[in-house]
Amino acid sequence: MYKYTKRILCASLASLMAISAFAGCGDSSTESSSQGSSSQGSSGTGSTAEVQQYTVDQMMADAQIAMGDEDNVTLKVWGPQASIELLQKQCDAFVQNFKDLGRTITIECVAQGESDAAANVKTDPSAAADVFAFASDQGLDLFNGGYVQQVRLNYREDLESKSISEAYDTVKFQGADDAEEGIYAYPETGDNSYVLFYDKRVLSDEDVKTMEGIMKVCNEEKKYFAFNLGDGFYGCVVPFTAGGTLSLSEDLQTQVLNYDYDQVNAVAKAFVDLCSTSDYFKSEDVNQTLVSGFKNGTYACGVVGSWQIANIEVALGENMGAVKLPTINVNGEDKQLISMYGYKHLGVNAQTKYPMTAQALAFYLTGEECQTQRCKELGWGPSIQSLVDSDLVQDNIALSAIYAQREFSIPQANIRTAFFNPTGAYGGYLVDPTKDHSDAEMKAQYDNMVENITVS
Amino acid sequence: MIKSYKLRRNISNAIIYVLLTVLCIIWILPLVWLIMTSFRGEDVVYLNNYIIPHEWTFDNYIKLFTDTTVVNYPRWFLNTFIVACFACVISTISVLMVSYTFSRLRFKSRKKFINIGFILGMFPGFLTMVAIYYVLKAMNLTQNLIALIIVYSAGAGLNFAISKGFFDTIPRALDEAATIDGATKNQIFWRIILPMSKPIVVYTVLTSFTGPWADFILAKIIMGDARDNYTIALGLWQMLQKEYINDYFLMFCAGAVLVAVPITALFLKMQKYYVEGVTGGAVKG
Amino acid sequence: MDFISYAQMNGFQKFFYNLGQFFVHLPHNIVRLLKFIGRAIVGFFVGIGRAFKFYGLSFVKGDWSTKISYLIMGFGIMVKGQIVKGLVFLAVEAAYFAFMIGFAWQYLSKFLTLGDVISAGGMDPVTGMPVVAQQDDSMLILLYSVMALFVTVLFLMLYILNIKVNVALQERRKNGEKINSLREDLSTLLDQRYHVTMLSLPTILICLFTVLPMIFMILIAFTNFDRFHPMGGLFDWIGFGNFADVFFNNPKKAFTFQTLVGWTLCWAIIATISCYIVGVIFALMINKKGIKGKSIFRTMFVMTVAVPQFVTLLLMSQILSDNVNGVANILLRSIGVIGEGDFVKFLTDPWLAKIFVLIVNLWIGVPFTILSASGILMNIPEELYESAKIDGAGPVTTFVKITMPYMLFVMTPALIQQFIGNINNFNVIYFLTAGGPNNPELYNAGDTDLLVTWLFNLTTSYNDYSLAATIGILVFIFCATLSLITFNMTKSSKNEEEFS
Repeated sequence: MYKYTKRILCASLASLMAISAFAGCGDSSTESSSQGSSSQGSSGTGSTAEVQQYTVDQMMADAQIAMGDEDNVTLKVWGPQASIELLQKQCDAFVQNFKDLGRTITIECVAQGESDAAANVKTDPSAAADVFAFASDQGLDLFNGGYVQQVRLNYREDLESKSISEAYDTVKFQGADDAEEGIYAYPETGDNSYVLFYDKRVLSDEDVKTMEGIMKVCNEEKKYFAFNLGDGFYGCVVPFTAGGTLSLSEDLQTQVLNYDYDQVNAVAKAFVDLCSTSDYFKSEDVNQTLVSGFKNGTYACGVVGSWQIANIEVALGENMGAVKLPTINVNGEDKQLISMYGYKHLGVNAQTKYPMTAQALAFYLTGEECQTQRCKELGWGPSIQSLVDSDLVQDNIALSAIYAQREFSIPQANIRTAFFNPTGAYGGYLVDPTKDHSDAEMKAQYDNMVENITVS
Repeated sequence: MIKSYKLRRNISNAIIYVLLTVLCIIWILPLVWLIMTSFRGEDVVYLNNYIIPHEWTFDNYIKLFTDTTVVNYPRWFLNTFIVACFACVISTISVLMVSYTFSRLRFKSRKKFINIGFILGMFPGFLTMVAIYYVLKAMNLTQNLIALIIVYSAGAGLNFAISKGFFDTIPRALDEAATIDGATKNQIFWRIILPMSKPIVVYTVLTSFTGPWADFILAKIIMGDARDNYTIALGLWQMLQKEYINDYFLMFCAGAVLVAVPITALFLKMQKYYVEGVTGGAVKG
Repeated sequence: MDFISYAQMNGFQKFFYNLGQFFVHLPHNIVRLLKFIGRAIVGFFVGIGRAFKFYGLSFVKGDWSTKISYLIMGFGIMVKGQIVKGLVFLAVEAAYFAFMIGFAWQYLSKFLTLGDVISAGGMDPVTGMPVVAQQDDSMLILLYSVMALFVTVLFLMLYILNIKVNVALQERRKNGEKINSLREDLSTLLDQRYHVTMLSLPTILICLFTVLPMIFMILIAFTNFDRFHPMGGLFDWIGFGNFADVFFNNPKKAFTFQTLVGWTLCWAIIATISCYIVGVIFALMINKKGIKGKSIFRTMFVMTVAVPQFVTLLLMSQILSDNVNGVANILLRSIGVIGEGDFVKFLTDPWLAKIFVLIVNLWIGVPFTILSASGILMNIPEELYESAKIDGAGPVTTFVKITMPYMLFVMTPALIQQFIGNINNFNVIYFLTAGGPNNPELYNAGDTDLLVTWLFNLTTSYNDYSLAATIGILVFIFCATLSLITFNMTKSSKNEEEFS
């Protein structure tokens, strides 16, 4: 009973403070968040004015209420090592907003890679960070296990309006209550995918448009083309290019493949003919080789993700080229390669002691100004549509190539982990010159893949 | 006849020399590679197709001790040293206690204890790592060095087989004589048996001291994100992860060499005890 | 076969004879083992029966203070003059009840159901915040219940001891014997009952950090604790479901299990024998008479032992990798063994990977054999060789007749240990190939995965805790059976009997 009255009190306080925040809009932005105003200046297009945005002040007011229960808040945030310095700065800025209000928040940022983060949350949620970054391939598991908290109602509309629509879709998860349209994480980046990086001294802009063009040059120049079809994240290009899509059964426990064998096989054959006959097509862990290969000039091009942009820039300098994936000739028709497109999100630990503050922090960290800072300082692609359209992204060769690929991709959502290995095995088989590529064997390998994915 | 025998022996010896040298090179080459890479000045990712650095430098070593924001090598080294010392003392004491008891004391259900201990010793510790983690958590001990010390030394008593074998070879008459002289069993253990057991004590110390330097599985699950409490193995392993390897590979090599040096020195010095330990009492008997 | 014909065989024949004998005696030994286990179980219940009988009889015969001790531990002991001892018993009782009521009961009471949901989740319309569903944490219930049962068993033992001490004291009093003072009691701990002093600390540590987690793991195998039942939430007892899955119920899991058992055994046998043979040959070469610089050669080999294994293994995996930086491939290419642009898939082709993990294991394992084999070689009595020489035996004959049998005799127990060690050889596989190349026909496993690495991955990457526990139990049963049988067959246990 006591709690209930307290809540009502909180709510009325919330509206009161929200009103006061709106009323004092002009001076409050100078007072409490100078960074907020600067970000509005940088995005500049005025799109923020049209859509009713959830302002930082509003959010602060909310968090303030929440802290009626949450005094002396201590939060832990996990992010990748490379971003930790900036992350801490951003968190400090968040805390600064509360200083004047006499609240104490302590936020500690700890380095923890995105893939590790999910595993560690699963091992011991109570010792994990309150807010943690993860890649969208982990989303389904985290959601199924109930490790991530649903996003607060008040932020939902704002996130929906400003995010790239697919990014928003990937945090929805099929099977979540449709009426409520609940979402389970805050989109943080919008570039967790791969495109073609190439050495401009070897390949021309024309060459990189088709697989055939690339292979021709590679064979002539005796330089490698790295494309790790043996990994499901890249290998799915084969069925996707053939028009395949993915969904989940209703209980979320079985992957449903909407593939058509004839079409997949046609694309597969094109890969076999083109790649398995060449010594210079390499299906290998590109993370380990591409950068040094570019450095010592043994590689002409390779398909790799945004996380290697900085390294490739160092290796190639101004000779770096990046474009969307090429086309491949299937029975005389040039087909655009379709990729898998992932996102990174911030999740709020379901067991956090301070849910309100943690959610406010996650909202703040994925807000416009923080994403802008990350894009500028770390080169991370934003998940906010207006930022994607801005010069910030469009002037960046690599990032703009990645966003260009988005049109020809399938978002990485509702995919079970069991999808990746069989898909990779199939892709690896296609481009392995030592394997038998007769029709019967091709069919057997395809059936194998489908069976291994769908049998749970 | 004698001449040809000598000749034959010389030839066969020569062949063996050549063979052994070649084999030694094969065995030692990867280590040489590691050492050489740790002195590389040029910027490379991973190993490469040459051994001798194009540019020699000590920077990789210096950076290990100066650039400690991300890779806090000195701290990790110290952590491991502390854990190894404590784990070593506790393990050695409990191994010696258990094996002495099983070997020289006679009491009810001794045989049962030995069999149970033997079976339990078969169980690889890391299979139960999740449970161990939560037992430690219940004691509020996760993410600190005490937890590691406990984990590395708690099960040590089960490795009694080798030292029991050693104690078995010490003549029983010694104990009897001492008992007649009025010594208690406690005194016999400390004053008579232990001083005679230097090889096995050294062996136990050696194996339990080197353990913490190599394990990373348990350390990983116990330490979680508490980077300041990492051990050297966990830290080095971390440096090879996707996020770090591009920037820290050379420092990894330097770090690995620095761990290897003291352990190798220790090992070489104590080699003979190790041999006696491995072969149990058999060599003596 | 009599002793003489056995003695006439050469080393290899003896080895194979012993190996054959091992399998011939296997059924017999298994029967013995089962009998042993059966006897142990029967013995356990008989023991409990006796304890109850003792419990009842002592109560009837006991004096008033003994009778009170049935309720208040240590009371009778205090009355009979051993104040401190009695107080200790009393403190134990108090601590036990405090532990049970204050901590353990809330978990133990839910042990049979493993907990339930307390409140549903949803959205709080006022704050807009999600309401987290309140539910019990099954894993903690299980873990703390096991802990509570452990403590209870310990308490019961002390309780019985309390009565025993009471009865003994009563007896002494009746006979007019002296009652021991505290000091006298303590001094027996250093002499007559020294084994109690020596074993108590290790036993407590082992119970807490080996036995308790082990029982917990065994119980987990009978639940459905997997990735659909996450940490911190609910899961249920499902009986033998996981075992059925592994053996026949779930074709994919069963197939994976069979495949991995086959490969694990193959691996363990080949790895053990190859390391042994190669190591002995190396040791013989190093220790051959007339070879100088023995210690230098030995040191060279031993260096690889001293470097932490995961460092050398990660290094090897880099060298053998089939990407452009793979040093082995670069070398082969520059020699011209393989063409420009070609590469050998050392660690990514299913068969080559199996061969190469065995080869690298040789690199890791041989120095150990060299170390121990050298030690043994140096200890073979010189007279044996001299008498052989007088008999006109050549080097081959001496090797076959003397060296080999001697080495086998000494090293057999170590070999069996090594075999079991290889079944559980996590490091080599995990760091070299991480179980790969991935095989989609297997359930979350690769071609070089051993049972232990599979189970490690199931735990850490796939959160299939119950399946992992099931496999762990099966591996453990196999290893324990094998080692118990061999342990009872080898000389060491018999020697000990002679000695005692």
